[in-house]
Formats: sequence, C-alpha cells, structure tokens
Amino acid sequence: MYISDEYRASQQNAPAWIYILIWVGWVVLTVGGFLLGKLLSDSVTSAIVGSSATGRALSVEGNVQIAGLAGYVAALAGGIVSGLVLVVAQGVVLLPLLKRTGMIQWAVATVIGRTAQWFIVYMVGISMVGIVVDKEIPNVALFFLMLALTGALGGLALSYPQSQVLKARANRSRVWLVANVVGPVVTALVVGMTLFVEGDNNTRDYTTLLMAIITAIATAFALLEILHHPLATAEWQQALIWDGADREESLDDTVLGSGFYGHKR
Amino acid sequence: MRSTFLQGLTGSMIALLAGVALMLAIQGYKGLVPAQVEHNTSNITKADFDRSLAKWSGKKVGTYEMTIVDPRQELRLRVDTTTNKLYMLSHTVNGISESVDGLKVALTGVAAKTFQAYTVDSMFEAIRSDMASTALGAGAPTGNDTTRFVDLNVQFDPAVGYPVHIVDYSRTTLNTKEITWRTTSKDVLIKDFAIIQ
Repeated sequence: MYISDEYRASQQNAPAWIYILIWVGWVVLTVGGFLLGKLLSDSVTSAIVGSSATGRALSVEGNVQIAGLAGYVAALAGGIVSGLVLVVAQGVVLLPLLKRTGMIQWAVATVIGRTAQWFIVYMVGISMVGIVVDKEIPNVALFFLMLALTGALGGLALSYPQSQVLKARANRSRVWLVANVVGPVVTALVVGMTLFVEGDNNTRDYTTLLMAIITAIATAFALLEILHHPLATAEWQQALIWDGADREESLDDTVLGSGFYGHKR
Repeated sequence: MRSTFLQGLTGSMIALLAGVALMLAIQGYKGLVPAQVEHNTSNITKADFDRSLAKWSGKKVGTYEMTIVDPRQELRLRVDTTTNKLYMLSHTVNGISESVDGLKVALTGVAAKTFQAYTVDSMFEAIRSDMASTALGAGAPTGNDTTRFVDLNVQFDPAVGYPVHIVDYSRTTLNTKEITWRTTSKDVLIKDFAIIQ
C-alpha cells in the first residue's frame, strides 16, 4: 500500500452515492462531449475542406474526407474544437475535483491530446486508402493489427497528456492510458470486421458513438480508481472526505479492513 | 504546471511520431503488394503464350509424368497423349493420402474428366481462356457497387514451355475504394515434371 493510500485509508471516504454520481455523470458527459465535439468539428472541417475533398479516408473514427494540405488543417481545427467540447463536458465532473488550476491543465492536455488523436486518425486513414489485402489469415491479421495500432496510438495521444495531469495528483495514473486505448482499439477492430464482411466501412457514422461509449465506461472506472488513490497534492482530497453523520456507518473504519471485527473505536 | 504541460505535449508528439511510423509502414506494405488498378491484368502477352505453346508442341511429348500442387491437393499423374489416357500415381487431399490404381488402370468417367484439366494441353487452353477474359479489360460487375478485376500470373518452363505456375487473383472493391480484397481463385504449381517418351 502506498503511504498516501495509508493516509487515505485513515480518512473517511465520501459515501458510495457520490462515486456513483461521478461515474454516471462522467459516462453521460463524456459520451455527449465526444458526440457534440464530433458534430461541431465535422462542421468546421467541412467548411475548411469544402469542395477540395477527393474521397474518403479509411478512418477508424467518423467520416474523414481526403483533402491534401487542407485535410491536415481540418484535422488540426477539428481536433481543437472536438477537444474543447470534451473539456467543457468533462469539466462539469472534473472542476469540483481538480479545481481551477487542475482544470486548466486538464483542458490544455485534452485539447493537445484530441488534436494529436485526430491527426493520427487522418494521417493513417489517408495512407490506408486503396489498400489491397489478401483474404488469407496472415494478411487479414496484419490489416487488423494496422487498424488496432491506429486506434491504440490515437487513444494514447489523447490520454498521455491527461495522465500527466493525473500523475501529479494520484497513484495509478497509468490505468488512464489503458482505459483510453480500449475504446479506439475495439472500434478499430469493429471497422476492420465490417470491411472484411461488407468490403465497405458502413459503420462510419456510428464509430464515434461506439468509441465514446466504450471510452466513457472504461475511463469512468479508471477515474474512480484514481480518485481512490490520491497523492497529498490532489485537490479532490478535501472534496471527497466526508465528515457527515455517515462516518460511523462506514466499513472503511474497521480493523484489518474487515466488517467482522466491527468498527474501530 | 509547465512540466506537466511539456510532458503531456512530448507524449502526444511521440504518439504522433509513432503514427507517422505506422503510416510509413503502411506505405511500405502497399509497395510490396500490387496496387489496385481499375482493370484486369496479366503478366504475359499473347506472344509469350504463343512462344511457350510452340516450344511445348515442338517437343512432341508422347508420355509425361508430373506432380501438381494446388492449395487443396497434391497429385502425381502420368499422361499418355498418344492414347489420351491418364494414370493417377499418387493423390493426397488435405494432407491425407488417397488410394490410387497407379499404372494398372487408367482413369475413367468423372475422375478422367476431372483430372484431364491438369494435363499440359488443358492448362494451355485454360490460360488462353483466362487471357481472353482479362483482355476484356473492365471488371465484371457483381451487383451493387462492387467491381471485380482479375489478375493472371503465369510462369512457363523456359526449356520445354509447359506452364510451371498459374495463379489467378480476384480483386473485389466497392465504389468507395476504401479497401480491395484479393482472393486466389486458382493456384496450380507443376513440379517434378518428367518426359517419359
């Protein structure tokens, strides 16, 4: 057990419903943030790309148009818009926990991360267009690996800056990286499966939703894990210490962590 | 705060660079496999075909033996062109040996018809037919927005002229051109070819 965890264990946790509220709020707001961000950034990118689009990229997220240099500018703008919307949505849950300074760090990290994620999705998406794949196990596996790597790198690009914000405040910040990779990788594999069966990515309109749901759920669990293992620098230490009447009811104040020994006096 | 920002930025840049590396790897892969082209292809010309056929015909081979390998089976045949008879010397299907009559009894009926396709003369006919199909140029529509193109790859023995390896690929793509799936529709390899007389 970390020293800070021992300290935490000596304190009283907020009641379970607070964590449930954080979990549900995080999931709803993250899914909404991803979807609204995608919607707004699609409008921005369409305005930038305009009629210069020459086709559709093999994208693991959303409907990405190929547009040469304008496409990269669109990916940059789309990433920033998408990141900002996600920050605003997640900020509802995070602001009371990270406070102002932490939230500013989180905002910068998310905008940087989401922009890098968009760049990766665009860059790899256009390089995959027109790819010829033999329908044999090694080649299909290699193709799925390419898609999964795209998803994983996109997830890491988004989560690494965020994890640095969390690392300064909690142990177990690495779970944040894992949680953010799961959604894009699963989505990328679904895209691969659709291409394998249909020859066409007809899930492109739903991939952001799928990725958002998986990422939201996975990161919600990761967030709770991180909230339960704060360092002394974590702003939420005070916010999640419950000093109300529930203190005597808590199983946290037990001998050896077991309820059988009754409450510690 | 500054170090958190810089570390985060560095991490994203590393992921971005890894993305560039992945993009280069994909370009490398695309360089190794044939690119998608909007027509059928053939690695041989009619002149190549005619030259090899002339070599084979010029040898006036009466009887020959050969081992034929395709993805499903491996068989050794003796072909007597003078009597137009086929003898199955060995036959393995999916790695399991089948019983054969050898030189005692020539193949008859369905078996004779089936394995006739593996004689050199039949293979020349099949290649001629495949070349005629690929020469049509456009992919045959297979419904919806799907197009199918055929790639014919043939290698002939430089000395005797018989086909050593015939591979037909079928490329299927949709009008979105996101991906092209390639399947092997024919893959016949002739090895251990021996002229008996």
